[in-house]
Amino acid sequence: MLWACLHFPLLPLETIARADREGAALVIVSAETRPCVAALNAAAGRAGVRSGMMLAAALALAPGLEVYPRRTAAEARALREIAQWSLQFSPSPSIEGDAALLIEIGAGIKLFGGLEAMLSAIRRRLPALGFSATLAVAPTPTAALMLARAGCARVLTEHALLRDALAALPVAVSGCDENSAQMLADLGVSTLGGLLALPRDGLARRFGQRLLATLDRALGRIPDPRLPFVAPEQFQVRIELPAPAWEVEALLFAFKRLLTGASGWLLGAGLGAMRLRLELIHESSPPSLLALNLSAPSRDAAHLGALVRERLERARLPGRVEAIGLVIEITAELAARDRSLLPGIEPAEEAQLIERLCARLGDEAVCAVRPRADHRPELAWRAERPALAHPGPLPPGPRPLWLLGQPQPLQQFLRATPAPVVLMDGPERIESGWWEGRDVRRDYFVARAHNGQTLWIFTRPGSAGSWYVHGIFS
Amino acid sequence: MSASLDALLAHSALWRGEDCARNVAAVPSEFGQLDACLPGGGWPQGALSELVAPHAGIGELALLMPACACLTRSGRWVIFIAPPHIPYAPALAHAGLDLSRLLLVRAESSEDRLWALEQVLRSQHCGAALAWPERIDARGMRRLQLACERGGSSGFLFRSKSAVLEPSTAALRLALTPADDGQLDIRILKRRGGLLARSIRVDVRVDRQL
Repeated sequence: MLWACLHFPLLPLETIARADREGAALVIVSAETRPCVAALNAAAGRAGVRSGMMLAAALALAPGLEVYPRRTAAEARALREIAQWSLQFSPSPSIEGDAALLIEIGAGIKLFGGLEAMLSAIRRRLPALGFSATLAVAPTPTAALMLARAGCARVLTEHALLRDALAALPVAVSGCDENSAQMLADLGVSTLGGLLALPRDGLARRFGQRLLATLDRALGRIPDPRLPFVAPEQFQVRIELPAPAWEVEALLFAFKRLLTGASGWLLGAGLGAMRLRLELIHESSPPSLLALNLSAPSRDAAHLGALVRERLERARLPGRVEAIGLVIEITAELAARDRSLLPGIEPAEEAQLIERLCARLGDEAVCAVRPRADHRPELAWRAERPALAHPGPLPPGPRPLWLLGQPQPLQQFLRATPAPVVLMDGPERIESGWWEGRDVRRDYFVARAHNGQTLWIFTRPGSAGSWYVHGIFS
Repeated sequence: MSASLDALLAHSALWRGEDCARNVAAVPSEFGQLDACLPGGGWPQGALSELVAPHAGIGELALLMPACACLTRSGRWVIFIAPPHIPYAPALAHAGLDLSRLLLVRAESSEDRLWALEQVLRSQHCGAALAWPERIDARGMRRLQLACERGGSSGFLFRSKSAVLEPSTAALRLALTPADDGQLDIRILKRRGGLLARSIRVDVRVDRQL
């Protein structure tokens, strides 16, 4: 077993800031009567704000500073979102405390082609989610957690090295309570190495079994089972925007964060999304719900992002958006490696093209045409959803490449009276449809007009003189 | 000496002014006289072609049908972007197109049409896209050209006569005029390689569409 621990030191800040495209100066304040800066982003740091500073002082330095209280519920939600995303690396991640995630990676190393490749995949894919983490690897989960909490991004694969590696870490990473920490500090013990050097029975008597058990788990002396995170059946996430937004770019930025998580969840489950629901929550009006249909299952975050962009650009929103949500309503199985055998053309790309067109122009905008067994020319074809259409039986006579939606009087079509045409072929009598009240009785001819056009015209038997254009031989 | 001279003369970047370019990707139009005059022996792939006609319905669509049929049979899409009339399925099937590879895209605004055209040309699955744009500025043309190059697709733009006056980045530009007997006279206004002074007569008459 090999465990990776992701510790998120900036979770309170990033929970809020990840949906912010502009990266404005932003601080999280502690919930006290005289609030202090608990966490700050880079922009606030550049303005001179420091952690622990009084809020009033920080506002004096950076008047445009955006101030947020800590939202622990949102942090817990964010951590669950990260756990869902991490399903692509391990089937059973485990949430640890309020800012860390443990992933058993030993089983997946081969799949990713080596430990380094797997770790770099984690490091590479995490930023798109909007979080930054310390990634540490150790043979036991507790040791990985301790390393990550200490901000020590080490990769340890051997038990033998554990003791030396942990010895240098501060006592606080063991998760002991403040009293114990203070007592240990008074004893002159500041590192785990010092703690491990103390006699076991004395340690248990003074600080309780828990601390001792933690150390034993870290060193692999006793079993260290973890409660696996159970992914929900349906992917459903929501994120609050730092400031109500209206622009497509700002909304898209936040949606991309959620899509990254969705992509990881889908990959872990071996699924692709078929229908997404975008929820846009407004201040005063009811939420806007946008549906996004895919013609083939996909979990490509970039492709889904492009579809969301087109859909957002087409949407008419009643007001500013305060929060967004993403729900994957329908999924379909998608093999883990959907790459084509031959390099170059991705099979999914074909469906993606149709989806992109539909997302912007509407679902009805893209269609296929196919012949239909009917003698009446206007009913001898139909438009349908693009799919593998099988050609039906074909009519016997000459048929034009262009059909007019409505037959037009010949003179009106050619803008000439009398309309000079030369009949070249015909007549072809078409008489059908009397049984459903849309009967057609026409004699069709192929005719050449004075301007070089070849037309498909008809007249109704018995009504000499009135000619209609129904198609163009183009 | 002569070996290195031969190597130099065989170099594709060297234009000797005697003929149109030969080694460019093309899909045969299957009209013999036309193919003989087109670089690569057919409609250029990965490039735009402009067809200028006085009005619709003189056989400009029939001119493309053999190439479109060939593309659909090889599994690539032929896509109509906002056609002026309904492409009639029975006639298309007669012309040999595999209709499961034919797409129709409806778009209202000219902006949406250009966007859709660019999207489909960019796709490697698209063999040919047919469009009827009213106006395209130089930047729009350039974008379409790049999309063609990326997807290796052929873009066909049906233009009105006034468009001849605008400069164009299209690789091929043909002027079509109906002849008296229902055939089609084609003048090559622009092609890669040398110019061609004479016009070509091509038979696109109705009996071909049976």
